[in-house]
Parts: sequence; C-alpha cells; structure tokens
Amino acid sequence: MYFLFGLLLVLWSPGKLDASSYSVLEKIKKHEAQALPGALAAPSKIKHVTLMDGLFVKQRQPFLARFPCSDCHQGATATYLNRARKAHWDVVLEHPQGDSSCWLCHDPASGGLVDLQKKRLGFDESFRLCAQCHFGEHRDWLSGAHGKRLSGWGQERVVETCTGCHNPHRPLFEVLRPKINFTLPRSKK
Amino acid sequence: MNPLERLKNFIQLSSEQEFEDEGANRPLTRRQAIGRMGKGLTMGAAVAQTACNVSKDDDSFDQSMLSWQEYFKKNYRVMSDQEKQDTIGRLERLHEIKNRGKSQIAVGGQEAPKGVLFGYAFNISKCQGYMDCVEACVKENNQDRDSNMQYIRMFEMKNGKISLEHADGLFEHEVPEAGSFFMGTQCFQCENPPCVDVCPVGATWKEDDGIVVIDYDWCVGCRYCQAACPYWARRFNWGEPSVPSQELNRNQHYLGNRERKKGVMEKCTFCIQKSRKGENPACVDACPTGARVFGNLLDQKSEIRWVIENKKVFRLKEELGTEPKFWYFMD
Repeated sequence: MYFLFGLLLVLWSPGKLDASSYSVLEKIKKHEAQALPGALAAPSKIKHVTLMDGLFVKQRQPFLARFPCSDCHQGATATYLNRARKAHWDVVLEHPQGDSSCWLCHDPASGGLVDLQKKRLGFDESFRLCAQCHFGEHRDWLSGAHGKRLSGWGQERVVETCTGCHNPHRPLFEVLRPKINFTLPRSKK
Repeated sequence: MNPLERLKNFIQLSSEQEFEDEGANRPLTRRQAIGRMGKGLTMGAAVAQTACNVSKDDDSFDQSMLSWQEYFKKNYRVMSDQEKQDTIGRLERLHEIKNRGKSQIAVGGQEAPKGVLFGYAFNISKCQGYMDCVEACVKENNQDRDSNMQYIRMFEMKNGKISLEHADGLFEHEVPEAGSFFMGTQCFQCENPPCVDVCPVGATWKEDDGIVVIDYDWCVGCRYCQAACPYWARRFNWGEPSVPSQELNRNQHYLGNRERKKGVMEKCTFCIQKSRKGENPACVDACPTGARVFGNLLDQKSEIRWVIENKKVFRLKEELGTEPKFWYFMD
C-alpha cells in the first residue's frame, strides 16, 4: 500500500522540466512583439558610409596610406605598368590563385578599383569586387553571419568591409601563436 | 571636521535614513536587528577609539562604518532602488579609501532593458583559435591574475567529429592548423539554468534579459552551482583575487565585473556592464575573425536571429533541457 502511494507520488510530482520550463524558441515567439524598438547604443563614432537602411560600412579610402597614387608617383611614372610589380615588391599576390594580375581589380587610370565589367569602384566599395565570386559570403556578410561588427548590438550596424579583416592579396588568416596561456586543470599541475 | 563631530553626523544620518524607510513602529527583521545592534557596538568602539586616539583619520573611520553597513545589506534582488544606489556608493567609496584616494571606480547598476533577450552565436568554421577573446575577457572582467582564471575555454577538434571528449583544451602550437577546428565555450546563460536551482541561498538568478548573474556579497561559496553546471562555466575564487591596479577595469557593474573576494563564485555575464549599455561583450569586440555574433533574440531583424533561422545551428548538450542561449553554427 505504502509502496503504491509512493509510486503515485513519484508519478504525480511535477518534474522540473514539465512544470516550469519552456524552450527558448517558445519564449522568443511569445515576447517577440515586445522587442526593443530602437537601438540602445549611441551612434557609432567610427567613420562609416551608408550601404543600405541600417547597415553601414567602415570608411577606408581616406585612411589608406598609399592612396591616391600621386602621393608617390609624379606625372607619367604611374603609367609604366610593366614596372608596377617591381615598385610594389612588398605586395605578395596569392589571390586569386592561378591567373592573378594586378589589373584584375586595380584600375591604373583612376588609381581605384575596377570590377569584371570594367566598372570603376572606390576603395570603400571593395566588397563588390569580392562579391563577384564570393556571393555566399557576401550574402552572409550583409545579414550578419560573416564579418565583423564594429558597433554595439543595437539596430544600427557598422561593419568592417572585406579588406578590414582579410588582406585582399593573400586573404587567408595568418598562422600565429595563441594570445594567452590556458588555465591548467588541477589534475595536470 | 574632528572625529567626534563626524561620528555625530554619521549617527544622525544613518538613523534618519532607516526611520524614513521603515516607519518607527514597524517590527524589525532579525537581520535589521542584528545590524543595528552591531552598529551600536561599532559606534561604541569608534567612540572609545576616537577618545583614545585623536590622530586616527577620517578615512579609516568611514571604512569601518561602511564595511559594517555592507555586511548587513540585503540580497541585491530584493533591494529597493535607493538601497541599490546606497550600496553602489559604499562600494565606490570603500575602493577609494582602500587605495588612499588614488583609484576611483564607477560601479553601475543598470537594470535589464525591456524587450531584450540576449543571445549568442559562435561560428566554428570561422574561429581560428587565436584566443584574443580570452585575453579581452580576462581584462574586461577583472579576473584573478594569480590563478590565471578564464571564463572562456577553447577546444581544438579534428575535422569530421564534434566531440568534446576527443577535444584538446590545452593546445600549444601555432594556429590555425590544417585539419582541425576550434570551439569556444563559456557560460551559455541557460534559459533553464541548473546552477540557479541548486543555490541554497538565492545568490544567483536569471535576470529579465536572460543573463544569469551572481550577487557576490550573498554567495556563501558552497560551489553547488559549479557542480550543477553541465558546461563547467562557473569559477571559484580559492584565494583573494588580485588584479594589478594599472590593469583594473574601472567601468564596473554590481552584478558583473566588480571586485570579487575570496570564497565566492563568478562567471561570464555576457559583459553585463557593456551589453546593457548597447555595446557588444568584450569577446565579440576582440574576435579578429568575426566568429562571434551577439544580439537581441526578440528583435526579428537582428543578426543573431538571421543566423539561427538561416544557418545550420546546434547547441551544446541540448538533450539536458537546460536551453542554453548560445548557438554554434557553421558555414
């Protein structure tokens, strides 16, 4: 008899999961309507250009060390294209693999960039060049799954452009030592 | 001002405060009664001390009074707004006294913003194991440098299998390495947190914006929560935590990165001092690869929502029913 009573007690007792818990997704659906309407953060202090409604790209062109070309080249020297590789010896061109030429992306006439349709672009629009092949990354970057966000989590997004993180001439990340030593668990000491 | 006048002022001030709050005829709770008795004792001792030693400075007097009030304060969760402000003021003043006026901190007490549920996503295809996040976290949250305390753990896994049992949490080589990927863990701010259930004193709880926090002054250091957490997200201060003064982050939050003491638990709070102001946590800001996404889960236009809805996502040990608000995803 007592055994039966005990069994019933166990069966009736609300398990924690059944009684009080819910999934996060349910909670999100329930409270979605009350989402914080505006951005909480103050406007970002980073200089940026508008890409679309609520999305801003960090400005790069005014801060480039070697732009415009006339900073170094006077007059006709900039047109000696066959010597460009020698003049820019420090640029290691590994991308795109195979047929890589400076003039695939750079426009010697304007000093800016040029896409495959020969449309001239500024350095703040370099992502349009990358998007010609990396359309999947481009989609992710516009939506926020790829790339680095510089502003807070509020609705106004200021993001790094492709070349903010990747070196366009060799886009793979560098091999480095990790920044910090691990905490050793006590068993390993 | 001479010490005796100071004492008189202090008695007057503190008694006025208390009677304004409660009304003279309300019965005392046990805690208040002990607190007042103790206060009487301290004052007596202080009077005796001032009588004997006139040269004792104002600061040490303040320190003993403030520490006493700190000792008998309530749990942060049941404090009124005034009481919260008072205790924050006391903490700031105590820090100043302790450092002889050379160092000042700003302890914030921002409440959870309305209409916000914080969520986090981690891209295991992007993380390269550089550990910038760990470094930034330690600095931002004033973690103990002596014991090398870290909230974030980074695991290296061989391609083809996501298994923490076969992961290397102590890799010592240059990264990234071909054939392996990295997975960082930290507190997942579970929606159904087992650590909160087991706390015998109610020192840890889940805030309205989904962040699980600890009242360091209420924690008794039993470490039940550490045992209950299936993700090893909580850390214990075995010794007096030490942070060099020049590295101390002075922008603090009562429930976040304020100074801890020996024998209390601590954990990741999604940098509550930053995230409640609209900023990203320090790990998100520090990540050089953009593998970390942080945002408001209730906001349909947020990045985190796009990731959850459009990417292949999973959560760690989802079968336990802890409902972590931390998703891993891959490209």
